[in-house]
Amino acid sequence: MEKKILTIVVTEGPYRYQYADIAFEMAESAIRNGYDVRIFLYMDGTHIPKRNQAPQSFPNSAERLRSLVKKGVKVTSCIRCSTARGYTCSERPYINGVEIKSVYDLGEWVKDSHRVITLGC
Amino acid sequence: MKSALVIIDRAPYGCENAFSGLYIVIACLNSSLDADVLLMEDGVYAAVADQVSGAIGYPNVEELTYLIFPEGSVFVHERSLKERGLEEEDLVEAAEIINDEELHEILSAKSETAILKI
Repeated sequence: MEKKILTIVVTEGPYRYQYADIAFEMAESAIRNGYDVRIFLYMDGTHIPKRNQAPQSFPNSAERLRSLVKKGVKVTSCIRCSTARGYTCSERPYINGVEIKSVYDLGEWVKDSHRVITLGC
Repeated sequence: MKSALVIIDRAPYGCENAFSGLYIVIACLNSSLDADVLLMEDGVYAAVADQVSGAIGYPNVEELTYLIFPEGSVFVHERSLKERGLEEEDLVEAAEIINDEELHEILSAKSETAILKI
């Protein structure tokens, strides 16, 4: 049987807000419940997968995302938002498995999804 | 999902949400999804006509509404509009003013609607 798809859109960066961590918890719960999970990073959400983060007081958001990628979660970062913030494809700014693509891919994901959740303010 | 409704409740230019939210509607329409935007609270300012954003070098949000309409609808929440002293004639042609009951009817008439609050 084909898995149901959950798409989570995250629009805020890590640490200042809890949205990234909530997204990770939701994704892990959805995987346990048999969902195919996709995460689309938009606006400041495109900071989340940056390499070499070293937070002193919070869980490392990139490492948490990496563990989700290993579980099969597709992660895409909006190219317009990423580029604006200095994350360009040629410099491999993100952890492995995170793709930098167009917001038009989000349109396709929404169409394919059974549930869509936005997290941000 | 068979349709999408993007909700924007922040004014344009002060933050990125209105610009980026409208782009999600455009992306959904491009994927042949039935997609609309609902502007409420300070988001109604995104539908004000004759915006001049050049002075601050930001893209004109008003122009994006014409990339949505008429394929998608630009709904403007009536009470939010009135609370801000705005009238229908202040808005772009694409704007469609709706009250809470009409919003309920629109959402009820659609099935499998993704609500994206940006």
